[in-house]
Amino acid sequence: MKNIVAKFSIFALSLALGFAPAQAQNITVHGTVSGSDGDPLIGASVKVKGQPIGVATDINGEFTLSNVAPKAVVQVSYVGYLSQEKTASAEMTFVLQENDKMLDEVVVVGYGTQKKSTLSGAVSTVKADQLPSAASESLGTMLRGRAAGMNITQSSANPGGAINISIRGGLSGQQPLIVIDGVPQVSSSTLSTGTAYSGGDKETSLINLNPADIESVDILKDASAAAIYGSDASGGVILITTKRGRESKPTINYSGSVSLQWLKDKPKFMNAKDFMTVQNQVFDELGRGNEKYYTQRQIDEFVGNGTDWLDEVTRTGVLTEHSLSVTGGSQNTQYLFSLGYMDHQAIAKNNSMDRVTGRINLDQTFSKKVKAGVSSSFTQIKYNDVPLGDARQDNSALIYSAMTFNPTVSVYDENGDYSGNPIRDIYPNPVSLLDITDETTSRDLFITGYLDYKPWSFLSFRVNGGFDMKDTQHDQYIPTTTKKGYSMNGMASKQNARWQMNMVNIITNFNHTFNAIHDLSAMAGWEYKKQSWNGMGIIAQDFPTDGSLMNNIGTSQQENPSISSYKGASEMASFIGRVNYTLMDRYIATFNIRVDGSSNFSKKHQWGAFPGVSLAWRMKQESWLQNATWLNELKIRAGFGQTGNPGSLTGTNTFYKVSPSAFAPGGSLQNGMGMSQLGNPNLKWETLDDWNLGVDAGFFNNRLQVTIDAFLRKRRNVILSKSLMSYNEITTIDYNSKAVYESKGIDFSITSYNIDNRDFTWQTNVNLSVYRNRTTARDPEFIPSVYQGWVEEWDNIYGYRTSGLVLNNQAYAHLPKSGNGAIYYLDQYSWVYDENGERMRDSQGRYLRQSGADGVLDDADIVKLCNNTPIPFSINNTFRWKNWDANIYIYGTFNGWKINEVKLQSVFGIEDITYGVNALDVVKQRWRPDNPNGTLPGVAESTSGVDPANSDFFLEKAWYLRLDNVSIGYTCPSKWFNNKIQKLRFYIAGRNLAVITPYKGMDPETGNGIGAYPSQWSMAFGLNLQF
Amino acid sequence: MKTFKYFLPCILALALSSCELDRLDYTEISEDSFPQNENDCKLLVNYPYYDFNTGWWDGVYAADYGGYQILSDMTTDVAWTCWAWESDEMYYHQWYATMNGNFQNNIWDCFSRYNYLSKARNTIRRIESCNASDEAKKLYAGEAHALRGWMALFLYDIFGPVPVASDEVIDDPETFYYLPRLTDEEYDAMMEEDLRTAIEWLPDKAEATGRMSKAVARMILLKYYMIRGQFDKAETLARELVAMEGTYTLQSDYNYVFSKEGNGNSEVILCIPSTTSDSGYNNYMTAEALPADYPWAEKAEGWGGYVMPWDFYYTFEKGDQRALNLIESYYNKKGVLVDASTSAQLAKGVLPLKYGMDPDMTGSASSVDLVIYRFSDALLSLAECIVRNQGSVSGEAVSLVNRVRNRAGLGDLDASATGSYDAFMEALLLERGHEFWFEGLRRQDLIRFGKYVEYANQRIAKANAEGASYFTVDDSHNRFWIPQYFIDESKGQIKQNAGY
Repeated sequence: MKNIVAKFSIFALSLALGFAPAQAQNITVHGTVSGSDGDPLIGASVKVKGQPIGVATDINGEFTLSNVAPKAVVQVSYVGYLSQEKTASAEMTFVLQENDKMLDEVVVVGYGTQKKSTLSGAVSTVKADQLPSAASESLGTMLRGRAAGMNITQSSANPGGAINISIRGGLSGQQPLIVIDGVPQVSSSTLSTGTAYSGGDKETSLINLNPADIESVDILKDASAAAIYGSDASGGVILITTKRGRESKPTINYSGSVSLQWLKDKPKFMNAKDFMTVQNQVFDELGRGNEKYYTQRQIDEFVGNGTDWLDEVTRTGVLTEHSLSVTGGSQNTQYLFSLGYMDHQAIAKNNSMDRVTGRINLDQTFSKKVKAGVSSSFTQIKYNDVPLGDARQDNSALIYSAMTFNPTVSVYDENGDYSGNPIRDIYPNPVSLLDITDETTSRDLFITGYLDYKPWSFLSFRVNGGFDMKDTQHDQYIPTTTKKGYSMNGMASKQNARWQMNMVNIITNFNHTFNAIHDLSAMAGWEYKKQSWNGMGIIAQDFPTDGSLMNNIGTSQQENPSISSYKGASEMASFIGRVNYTLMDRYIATFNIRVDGSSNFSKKHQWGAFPGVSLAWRMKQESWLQNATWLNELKIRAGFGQTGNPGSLTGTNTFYKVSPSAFAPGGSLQNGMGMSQLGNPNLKWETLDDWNLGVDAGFFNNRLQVTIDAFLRKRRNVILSKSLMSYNEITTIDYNSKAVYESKGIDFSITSYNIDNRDFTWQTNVNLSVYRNRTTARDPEFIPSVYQGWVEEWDNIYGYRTSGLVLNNQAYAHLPKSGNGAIYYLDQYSWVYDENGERMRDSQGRYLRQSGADGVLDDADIVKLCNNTPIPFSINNTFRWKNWDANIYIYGTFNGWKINEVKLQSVFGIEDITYGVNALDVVKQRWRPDNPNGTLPGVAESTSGVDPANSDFFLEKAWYLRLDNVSIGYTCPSKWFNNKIQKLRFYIAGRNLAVITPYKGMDPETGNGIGAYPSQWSMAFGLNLQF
Repeated sequence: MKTFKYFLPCILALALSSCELDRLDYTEISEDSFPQNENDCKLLVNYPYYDFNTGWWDGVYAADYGGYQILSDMTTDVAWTCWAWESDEMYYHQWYATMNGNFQNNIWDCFSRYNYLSKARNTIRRIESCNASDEAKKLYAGEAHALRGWMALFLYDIFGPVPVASDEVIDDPETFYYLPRLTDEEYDAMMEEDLRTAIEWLPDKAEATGRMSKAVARMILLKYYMIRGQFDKAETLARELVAMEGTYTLQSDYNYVFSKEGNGNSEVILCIPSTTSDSGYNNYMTAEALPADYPWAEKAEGWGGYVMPWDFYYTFEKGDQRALNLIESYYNKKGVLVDASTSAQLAKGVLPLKYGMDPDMTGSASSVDLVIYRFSDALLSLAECIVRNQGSVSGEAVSLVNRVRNRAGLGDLDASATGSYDAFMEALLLERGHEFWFEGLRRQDLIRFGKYVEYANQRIAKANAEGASYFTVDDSHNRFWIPQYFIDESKGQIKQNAGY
């Protein structure tokens, strides 16, 4: 789309500036086009300016244009190079400079494009071909750290693991709107199987895209820009533009890579001997020495380390990806065909994912006035999942059970069956869980089209329409070889869901320059969207055989298999408008407005208006800065905008819901129906106000480019669920709260060409964001907790302070149940009482406290322990030396705190070892009567009655810097292949090679919970080929 | 391209005219379409049964510490567990209003159910507004009245009177009314209205086990009167219940009542019907007590926690069939003898495997109905009311107790036990303990006989003699505390129970 609009604007511009074809003796022009390295550029576009005459260079970089007016201007352009213009002559030579540091790229801004130089909002652009693609499944993980102000984190390291995208602090609580080639994608979700086991959370936002198809990703960060998407945009907007064909000979691109992956953060659990020894110790420590399971002799005579269950369920992962595309076109027809394949055999056995993508993008010019195009893509992803999650005991999933299963038994018993835990046979054998079949197939068909009609040079109409259709089928079978499957005689689940987004819009564009200095463009449009969803599911158990898996579910002998289905739809209609005005190429004003009507509100509150306005001043264009040659660009931007949020979507209606199996009279289940929600017809839009102040500057021939944006955002009329009095049948109702949420922060983005000469270049990009979110106003009824401010920062972690362990039989009144070796929580504060013995409150209703112990550990003793707001940072270094290239990419956060949950569970739950549940090796450092210097709590903590998760004891600093990519590549000179091959590049890349962090648990980004999927590091080998 | 010129304005015209936006969700059933007919009435009344489910944490009859039967028995001499997790706070009464942890959460959950009275009230009104026959409306509204009384009994049992919203208050949910607790007299009136209506409208026996019936409503009101000490009214009700003999009968084998084959037996006046096919309606009482290595149904899994303390077990007379399923020791699945010297669970007490084996038990889920009220309780309650109202032991009362004893394989009460009012009452209390262990009646029995706190202090003294440092407790423990949240929410209109 970018290309089309660019061509249009050139066309329009040339007309406006009055270049008329000259009337004189025409000539034939022959010429060559080469890069600055002397290599010919093949397929470069050569045009006579202002005329529909154009050709592409041949394999030697040569072209011939006939019938050219003598004073005509010949334009040569090539992607990635600066365009050149020369007056026509019979023999012409063009040497194009590479365009790698131009500020003036075209930026997609929603319902149109703008030159970056005249942009007044806060928009970040990421070029997809700059992102290392090897060993990555998703554009989402590839974008981590790539744009200041967009913080992407992956919450789980399983294949296709879920990501969280938070733009500017994520104040709205919404995920960003993702618009692909002008059509918002429908949001989908992963389907729960409804059984005891489920795979890891999946990414659904960007996983369907083939990264090789992506041209650019533009992020509308501030609301002056995002307001054009109105109520969908409170989470920010990500605009994705796919590659398109251009006027050239067919070009075939292939890229592929193979990566090997190895387990990276494997927690150290005890080997068999240590396990038995510690188990006996714990029996003694609990005063239950008579229940010991192993004799000292058994321990001494045990041979080997026992079973390493994590080794049993993991393997070396392999990720392969292939991408093939053909682009090209004539003057009137341009095309792109692409196919992609990605296969990931993940590090957990039987855990895999593969993706097939196909894309056809076509543009057709019918006449001077009419042009049309389509973008269509199809994606199919298949997952084979393993059970994941933090469940314990009989519901333990693969990783948690592999960490904790009894190491003294082997995988199989003497009969060849899965062995059980001999002490308490309720825990699933980890290897048995690999027998579970868990298949998901997701498909996405995304088709958009446009029709441009341009009756006059200054006015154009565009009809844009499309749909995104997703469906998912999730099947699971738990066979009788697992404990769960055995007890239920097999269990099957089949779930499916479909989501669809239909959209159509009509956009009118007006473009004119008055008196050569007033540049005015205006856009107005209307849009209609309908989202719909439906699905169904069935869960049944008790099967005659495991053999048919979930594929013959009618053989279930269960009395009442669970069945469900649902369907829904919502509509939105919008009016859109934008005016851009540029005076003398230096004073820029942009005004956006969107009026949205949403079916999520009652009729009287359906419509909301969301304006955005921004101003920019290109100071460099002023005469008094013309002489500052060290300064190439200086632009100051200021903007304000509003976006909306329709909330949880359901708050306006009062309705009943079926309560399945409410009751079992006579032993057979019956449904009930009861009031489910109390509607609030007065519910209206949430709004997000957003102020932005930014500077773009370029120094030293643009070798140093700096963008700084400061923002202030306020979220008002927040739709929250409010508690009604607890005696009501329904005790909550959605309402527009008087609370105000605020975010303040700064995004820095620096690009520096440290070294830039013909043979050697070194480029560095640095992104950094610093922000804080706060709740600045509350509902008047709100009563803060004693430790909580009326104005409160988000991501505060509150809890008890601790000071080591209880030692030497010290008795503390506030810890009546804590013996030696329990955590010593501090009793720091006491309540303040009035003369009647009632606790006193301050003017905000908060209970008062004062320093000093009161012999009770309660809320009065809770303090703010830390703040967990991330400070996202990334640094990218790209080197090129002759034909070699290299990249080092590091991202992370400078702030973070995390409870080390695996350690907490091992230490706090140490009593479980008496049931044969293994624990982390560090539990050997627990306090024991014969290890009085132990630093970790002993068995006494489990009976203390305090949850250590509510304290700083297991809280650790968790900032990190991840060495995400280190790669070296070599591009073979095309001479080697007699120019038959335009480009051949080999590379080797190491991904996730190191993580620098003080955190002692699993991965600080993905290692969440007690059963987290271990992260991996990879070595990738790949090649890119173009011919 | 000419057609295109017309096409565009058409689209624009279409665009501007379409402003009615509609939302669709088939899982939401609007007030316009429900409730309407007789079947809707049944769906309406099924819904409030859910709160009494046995599901793990959210039901009144959950088998964990928050469930009514466990809260009632584990704070007395008949139940304990080898698990930590704050069980000693229950067994040794070490609770107080400001405590943290699960116990506080459990009490919170119990009190939060007081909005059930509003929900049941709305259910009654919705049923009455349905387009159904009077007969059907009476049946289902009668059930809803009985359910409301049942929850009100549960609340009174644990907290004393709670606040109850009037219809006007319920109909104005967005206004915050700060309601005080009802007085005892107001509560009496509410209980009588609901349960007398239910008694009048409901059949003697319900169409299916687990549904409310005339007998159930009588039983609930009887329980309430006995808590309130209104033994004259209680005696009348108990006589009406005993007069229903035939519809309800004492089974000849005590343990049959709690067996899989016994599901639906006529001794049971009310049960929570169980099924293995939904986790909300499993009987988990077996799993709570069953050790993991105990030979049981092939696919059963036990959690091995609950016990009956040895001290109480020793009070059973020899030959008492009611102790048959109290297990002192067992040979495990490997054939090894497990007893108090090798099992942490048996060290604390005997295994209360009250409910018989369900051969289909899978995992922790058994489908033996969970017993709530039985005919033998009607007999013993009548005996108690007679003696309390007369102030002396009567032959009728003794024979009622002996019926229950004889069924358990025991002889008549000893002469020493019938010799005086006090001796009889003491024997009756013990008899009730032996008859109803793990049925959730022990706490109110002990409170009614003035022994709840006394026995707790005896346990505390014994533990303290062995090195514990538990505080002793007083009569305030006959009720639990009201969680501070609700007091604050009512702006202090709700007054805390005395002693907390």
